[in-house]
Amino acid sequence: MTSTVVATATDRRAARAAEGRLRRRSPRRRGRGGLIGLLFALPFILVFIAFGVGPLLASAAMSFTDMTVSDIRNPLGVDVVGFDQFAQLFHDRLFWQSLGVTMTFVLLSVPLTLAAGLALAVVLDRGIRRFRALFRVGFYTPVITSIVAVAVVWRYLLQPDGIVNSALETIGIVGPNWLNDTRTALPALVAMSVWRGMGNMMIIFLAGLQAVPRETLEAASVDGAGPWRSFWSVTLPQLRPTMLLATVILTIGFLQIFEEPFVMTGGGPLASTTSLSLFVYNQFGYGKYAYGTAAAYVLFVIIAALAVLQFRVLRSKEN
Amino acid sequence: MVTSVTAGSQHSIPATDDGAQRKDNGVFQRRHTHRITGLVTLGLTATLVLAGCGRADDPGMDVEVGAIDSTPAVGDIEIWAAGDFGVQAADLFSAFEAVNDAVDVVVTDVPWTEINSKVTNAIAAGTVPDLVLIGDVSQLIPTGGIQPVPHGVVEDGAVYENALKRSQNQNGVQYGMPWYVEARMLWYHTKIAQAAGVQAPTTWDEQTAFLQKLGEVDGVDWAVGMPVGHASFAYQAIMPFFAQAGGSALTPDGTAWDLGSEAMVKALAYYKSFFDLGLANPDASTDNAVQTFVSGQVAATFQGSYLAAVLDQAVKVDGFSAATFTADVRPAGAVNNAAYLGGATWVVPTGSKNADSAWKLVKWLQEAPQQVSMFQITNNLPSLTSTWTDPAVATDAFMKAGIAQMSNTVSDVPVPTWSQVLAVIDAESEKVVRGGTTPEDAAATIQQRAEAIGLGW
Amino acid sequence: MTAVSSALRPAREAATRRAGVRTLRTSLTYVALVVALVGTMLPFLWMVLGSVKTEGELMKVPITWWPETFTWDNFATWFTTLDFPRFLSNSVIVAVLVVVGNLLFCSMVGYALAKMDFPGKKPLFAAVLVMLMVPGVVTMIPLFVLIANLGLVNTHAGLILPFLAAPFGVFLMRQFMFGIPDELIEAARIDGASEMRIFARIVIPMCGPALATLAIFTFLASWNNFLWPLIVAQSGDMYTLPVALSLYSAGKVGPQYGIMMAGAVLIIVPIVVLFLFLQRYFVAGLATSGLK
Repeated sequence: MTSTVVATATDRRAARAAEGRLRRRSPRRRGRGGLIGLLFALPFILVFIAFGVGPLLASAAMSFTDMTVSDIRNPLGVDVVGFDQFAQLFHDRLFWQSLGVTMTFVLLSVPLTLAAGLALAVVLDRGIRRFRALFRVGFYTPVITSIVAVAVVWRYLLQPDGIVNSALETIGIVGPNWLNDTRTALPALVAMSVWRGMGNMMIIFLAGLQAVPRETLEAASVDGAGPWRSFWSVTLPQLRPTMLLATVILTIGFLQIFEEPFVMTGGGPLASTTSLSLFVYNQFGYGKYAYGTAAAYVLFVIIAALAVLQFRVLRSKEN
Repeated sequence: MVTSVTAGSQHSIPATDDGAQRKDNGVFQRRHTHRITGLVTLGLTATLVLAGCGRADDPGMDVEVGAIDSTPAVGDIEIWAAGDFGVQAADLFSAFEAVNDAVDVVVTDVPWTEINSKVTNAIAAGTVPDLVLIGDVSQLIPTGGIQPVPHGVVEDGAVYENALKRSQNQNGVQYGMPWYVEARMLWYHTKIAQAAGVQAPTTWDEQTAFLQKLGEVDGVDWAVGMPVGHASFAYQAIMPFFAQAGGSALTPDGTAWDLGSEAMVKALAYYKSFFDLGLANPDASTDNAVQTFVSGQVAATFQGSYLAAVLDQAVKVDGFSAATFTADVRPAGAVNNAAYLGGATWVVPTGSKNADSAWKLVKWLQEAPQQVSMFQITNNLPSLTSTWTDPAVATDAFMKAGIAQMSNTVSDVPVPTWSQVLAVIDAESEKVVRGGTTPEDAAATIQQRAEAIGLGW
Repeated sequence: MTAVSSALRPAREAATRRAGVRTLRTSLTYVALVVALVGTMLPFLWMVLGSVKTEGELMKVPITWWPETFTWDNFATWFTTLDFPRFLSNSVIVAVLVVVGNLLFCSMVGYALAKMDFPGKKPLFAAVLVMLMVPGVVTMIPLFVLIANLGLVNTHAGLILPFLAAPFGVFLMRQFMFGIPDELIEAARIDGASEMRIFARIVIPMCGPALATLAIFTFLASWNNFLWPLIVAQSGDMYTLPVALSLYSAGKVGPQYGIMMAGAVLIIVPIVVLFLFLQRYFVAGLATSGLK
């Protein structure tokens, strides 16, 4: 696809037509592209269908049956019950609660993680010159640690007489019982998830910042723009695609949040930190496979809907 | 769940692709048709698969119970053992191999939290071992994945009855053989009790007074450790109180839940009183439950005899003896002093390739000499009641208390849906403690939800 | 000293003042960063310090920071009682093979999606998009049944296969491939080179940053993968590191903290080392993979 700069619309149409003719004139290339393209894609397609699409369709089928753990030795020996599982879900107060928990969690965590990652990236990219590698690795470490060990440590820190509350005491705030109070358990998990996720966002924004042309920034500073102004008016607009990418990634990830509540609070207190994924996991634990899968599908639909929504909303802004 | 940096959740946005755009305009109609064809194919496939489904008519619970003979065991026996006693008891299994030299025993330890899902997965995959040491058997029975205990493994009445009941189905067919048992007793610091000048309590009221006095001693933050909520297994505290007040989880014919009775209200009210009177910390974490007891910040706790081994390790400097800690049978409620019964049970999966030899191993393990050896190695009370009078087992004050407690125990309710119902009990009891509901309403809610969940047979 | 220099003095003073302010700002930034870093790494600090404490000291309430007695016992346990080299090799084998598989498959299909035309191209990309949004719990059970029926439970293959076709990799490579100039490929085609040759000799060498990024992300995801190996690995000799960590640090009455902390340290060290070496490519790779 040669990019030719053309002046008028007619010229453009003519150019396109010419390209089209060029295309059609080399059917060999097209044809070769057809079969060869398939061959290139084949290894991926095979694995993808076998271990991705296949199980996805199977679980869709499962959610229309009444399969429980008693059926594991004979999976096809179940009754098809149509939308019964979904109907039951909508009457399940724990399901709605976990839905609410998940949405609250996402609404809080996504902006905070984005902000933290962006702040870190900007400071590391612009604010300092030395020790960048050290800081990058340091801030990225929460991302790569095992949640099992980290959870234990965080629980210690969040105890009513733990470090966090001691620190708050020094500035005169009486810290709550973070993990046992239904009002603060979820915010505590949000804080922990932000801590874990900001490293990833930092890396993504660092990459995005590298794409911001230095000349524009220099021009801005020559014009007398302070760091804040140049950030707001120059850097941020350039970062919009990165912002979209980061937001979508985070949202998809956080909607599935599982390990943090599972390891930190077990979903408590009083199910105030039970995310939808944890709800599904619990159902599997009770042996209610079809029921859990139905809930998992609801989660999937939500993820897809939100991702599409974000695309539409955030993308149109840049157009 | 694979974390957010996964192969599942990252993607970059396709930049506006002019080529694709142009192609789209030209082939829009075709793509639409493709999509519809695709969906129809998918729908047809799914329908075909679903059409192949269907439950066979339930043949009923007629179960064939086999028998074992006296020929020696042969072949490989693969064991999965919950906890860490499998490897500890390696010598015991070696002794079996010495007696039956055509046998090879391989033991893998699995944590308690994982054993049930591992076994379930293995049943689904057909990769079951020959013998499993497990806690909760009831959920496995309806899968058909474990076999009933054949005749001839133990004599009638030789094994502790309450433990046997844990692995029976609704018709009394035995599916597991208990290996060891333990009941949760009342443990407390001897010196603190002496300082408070109190004797071991025998009734609920005495228990409250006892704990109040303990709490007043210098250095004690909380009189007793009480679990709250699902993460701390609160039901293990509630069910004993419920039984002590005369409650029974199932109706006498075993066909329905009976969790909303007056006994449950009393149990919940008594449980709540521990927190209202400041005797127990409602925000205690399971992370340091043992630590705070060892250090004396928490004066008393309800644990089984396994605590002895933990204390021994933790209190190496002062030494661990009756001078430091006391374990007593639980105080009684209105009806009895039932304690929560734990322990481990042997089951043989249906797909085991060497089931016969596995049961022979179990039979050998259940004989008195081996049960005593097991105790000496692992410090767990054998399920064979005849060993309880053996001085080799009733060695010290702690074991004697544990044996005495055996006369009254309450175990997990042996129905497949118990894990769901206990979650309800955990949740409602937590609400009672944190002030969201009253014992009466909580009891009613528990019964209502349990009824909706059913028994699972 | 001339009139010029005296006229320049206010400007010079202003410049010096600005430089001064900048230096102050930079210093404050460093300080703030260090504080933030310490805060971020606090849990690690506790973890690392905890790995050399005795179990008794770890059980102490209130918690101690600096160890009263140093002990290497916790680490020793991982190498004597527990088979750390085994767990490590399992994690490495699985991670490396998953990475290699992804690099290969995803670059091939990314190239095909970006530069070629074939039947089913649009549905394939749509399917990949969809799979990206599917939560893991949805496919867990059927996937397990499939792996079981293939007889791959408790094998390396069972740990590797489900992750060979990662949607993320496809996106990354496809995106990057768009940036490869068509002229190069065209020229090679005209010269008569086969597609395979073009791919291997021309395209792949140009994909360095993208491949490095994909390798790192994939390695990381595979290394820390916990839920799937927990289900598939049924015996100790097939456990990967995260599985071993969570299973073997579970004690009877509560977690065994010493073993847990030591294990956590052991797991994270290879990753940190890897990241230290490759982070430049990481950031560069993301930048050039078309985040536009």
